[in-house]
Amino acid sequence: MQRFNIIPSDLSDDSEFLRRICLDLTGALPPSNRVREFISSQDPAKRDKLIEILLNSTEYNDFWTYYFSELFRVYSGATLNTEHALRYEDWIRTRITQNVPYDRIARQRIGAQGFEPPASHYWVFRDITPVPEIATEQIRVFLGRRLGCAQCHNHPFEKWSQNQFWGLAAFFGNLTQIMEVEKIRGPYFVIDDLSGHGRRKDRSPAKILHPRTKQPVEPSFPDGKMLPDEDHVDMRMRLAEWMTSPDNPYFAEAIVNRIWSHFFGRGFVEPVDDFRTTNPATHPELLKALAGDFVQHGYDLKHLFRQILQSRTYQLSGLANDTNRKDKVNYSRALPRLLEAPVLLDAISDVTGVDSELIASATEEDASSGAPSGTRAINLLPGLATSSFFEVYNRNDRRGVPENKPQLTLLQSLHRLSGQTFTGKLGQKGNIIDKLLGKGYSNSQVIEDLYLAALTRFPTSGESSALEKMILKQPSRRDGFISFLWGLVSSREFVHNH
Amino acid sequence: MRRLADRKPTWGHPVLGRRGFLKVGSLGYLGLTLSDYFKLSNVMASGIKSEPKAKSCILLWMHGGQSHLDTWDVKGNSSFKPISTNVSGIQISELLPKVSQHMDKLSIIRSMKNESNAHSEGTYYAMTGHLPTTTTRFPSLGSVVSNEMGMLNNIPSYVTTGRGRLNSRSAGFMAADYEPFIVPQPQEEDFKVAELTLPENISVEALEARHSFLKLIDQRYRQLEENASFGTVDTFDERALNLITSPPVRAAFDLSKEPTKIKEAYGPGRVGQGALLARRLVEAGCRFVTMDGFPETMGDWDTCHYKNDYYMKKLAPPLDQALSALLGDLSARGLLESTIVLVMGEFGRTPNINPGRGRDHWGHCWSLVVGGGGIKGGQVIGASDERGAYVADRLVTIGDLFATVYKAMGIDWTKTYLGPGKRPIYIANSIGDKQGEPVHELV
Repeated sequence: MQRFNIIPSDLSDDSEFLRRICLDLTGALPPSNRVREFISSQDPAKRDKLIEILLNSTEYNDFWTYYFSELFRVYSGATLNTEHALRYEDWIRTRITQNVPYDRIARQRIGAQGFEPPASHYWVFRDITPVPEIATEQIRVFLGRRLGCAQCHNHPFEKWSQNQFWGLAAFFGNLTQIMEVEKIRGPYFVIDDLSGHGRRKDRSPAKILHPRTKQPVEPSFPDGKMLPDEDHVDMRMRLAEWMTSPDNPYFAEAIVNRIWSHFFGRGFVEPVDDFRTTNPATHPELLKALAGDFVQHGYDLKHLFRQILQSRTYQLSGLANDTNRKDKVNYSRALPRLLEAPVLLDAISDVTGVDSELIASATEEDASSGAPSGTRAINLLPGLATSSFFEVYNRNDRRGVPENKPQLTLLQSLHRLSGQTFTGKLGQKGNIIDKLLGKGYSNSQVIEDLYLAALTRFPTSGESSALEKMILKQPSRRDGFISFLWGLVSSREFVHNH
Repeated sequence: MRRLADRKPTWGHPVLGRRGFLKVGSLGYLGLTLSDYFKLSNVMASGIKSEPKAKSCILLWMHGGQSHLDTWDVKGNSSFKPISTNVSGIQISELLPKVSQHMDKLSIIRSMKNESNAHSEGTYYAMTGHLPTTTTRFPSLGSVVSNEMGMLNNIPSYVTTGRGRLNSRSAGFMAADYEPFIVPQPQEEDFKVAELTLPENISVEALEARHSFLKLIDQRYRQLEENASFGTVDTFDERALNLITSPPVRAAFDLSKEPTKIKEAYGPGRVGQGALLARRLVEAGCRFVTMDGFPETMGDWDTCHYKNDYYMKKLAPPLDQALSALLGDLSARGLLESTIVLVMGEFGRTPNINPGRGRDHWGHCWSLVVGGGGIKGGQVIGASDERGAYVADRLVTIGDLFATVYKAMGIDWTKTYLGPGKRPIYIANSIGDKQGEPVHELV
């Protein structure tokens, strides 16, 4: 940064830090009493203590289950059976709760056999996903490389060749779907069938054929080494072991980069899963150091989070100075990030004090599923509940590797004006306004409490007095506060993590 | 048309088509500016001197897969008779008597092919020209048209009744601006677009009060943070307020403004009222409207898995009425010249009748009809074999269909957009990731 004459911003103040870390680690806003408590605490170690509390909270488990359900694609459309998706999600939850080393999680997902819950990610609409796509996805998710192009030709400008791609794809060549024919809803599972006689929808031979030479491809690692014959029994696991080996630098770098991007809104490499020699990292040394440390600490995700969260870089303020106003790639200050749709919906529910009616509509395929009112949006399988909010905010459907960052749209602007999420929650009897007024709060107390709940900060004295004046001008106190609350949850400060 | 000079070849945004790319090197000789060149290249590429006629496109979506053998390509074991139409030599099913009197306005393509026989994938393919993948989300035809044609009269440029199976009506990797504007199904008596309708207990004064609070709350953050996309959201907020308070825009979505006589002509229910809403929207300036072509009182065209003839008799009449009314109405208002009408689903149905007396999914060969917006009517393109099972003559791919629509609208169909990984992707993508070509008999 010195090279560019950029001076980093100051350390964030307590409010800013608290809001950012709660959203990043738990996907939830801190309630107003917690904000007061944290800001007033004189304990010099309070930030480190907070990090530990959050890392061990149930909200942490909820949120990271959500995070990895997005990345690992947990959705009911895979086998068209909600139960499979719920088992898969539960599998992720257990791994998060027990903080299972990430390399082991990866091996279990890639090598899943039979009824093991992650095996359902090999399905798409009751069929097994085509092998080239399976291979592309695994490499993109776990090694941060996009090899889609190498499927058809040697990757332009890169060292990935078509032969390397098909050598990797061949590890998935024995994947066979087993499905009980009488029960169309399952059970479904996958096995590696050595005989090659397994049921395959397209009836293609289990052997993978090279598209150019039309010759069967034997599984081989990108360094050219063939998989020994005696290892052909559980080929996917052999590949998973190679992918997650400490000698394979790609694996740790890919997840470190992804996690860094979660906490900073930008990965060292961007897009996060597009590592290429022609797309270098902004800070290769730091990426290498973090990845090395992650490997040394046994792929411990919580350790990685701690390393990042305790850093001064993470705790910098978003307030720009004259030197770093334009900086977007050097992490010289915190950059604002739009909240993801389910996180935003939960935040609106929390601040307005009105749960979302996410009553699961029975899907065409499965009527047994349901989510009670009050279920948090992040814990809801996409597609299971009808919510105009998800429609408008275009919730990720998990049919593909997560790609799109949240975007602002015209429909969202309209939805804020007239949509059910806003008009419903604000109009609801017994919402937060009714509660606070019922407690006999003064106008300035209500304003303060809502500022703390929504923006994790006290209003400035200027804001407070101007708002109080405006409230007095409204037809009634309640009407005034509802308009005020609408302004709060529509504000840029609210919809961003900063 | 926006000028080439305005276009930056960035992520998800249009770049020059393959042909354009090859020819751009010769600019210097001609002494043309880029924008001159683009106008010229448009004409060269399309091979026509006249201005493109189509300004809008209406897609009536035959959700579930319509039996081509009982509608547009009657043959084989169909229980329904072919009848003559107002174009000599063209016959369609007796299930569509009213449409038969408008065949001069429509052309039938009897040699369509879908790469999938499953609803979700087939729909995705028919709407985007690509099979779904876990790694790239492709833009729908409507999103591309919306991007290429731009917004008119402040009317949302792409309106649909939902995101469709697999998000197949979405903008894919393109920017959020090209996502469809979603409206509910229009069959209800009190149909209204919730997002365009303020709840009764919220007055315009309350709206103003809310905005003055928002302005005050945002003030501090606005000074602190320059990167929080204020520009974009300010534009959207302003447009949203305009939409919700602008009488012409709200009127475009307001079916109650239509005389009863017209409403009845289109027919009650989803198909008729959907077609009518599409006409209102197009009249107001909307570029692409997708409405669903099956009645709300029963399942979609896929119900024909069982008792095909029984369900065809239920499904066809609302379409017959709505489509004939739409063509007549557009024509009477002088809008047919500038409006493409496209009637299609994801695939056809099997030539065989199954034990439940139904027809199953069939993507290998099926039919659609298209007309208006300068696309020639009264033609039959391609042919199926004796049983209607496979393409016997002149295969037309989804990419070719898209190219035809683009050409009618003056859009360069050879264009590619940059997808993820900077991979160029044809906006008219044909089988084997080749570029589709317009059906020359039609445009």
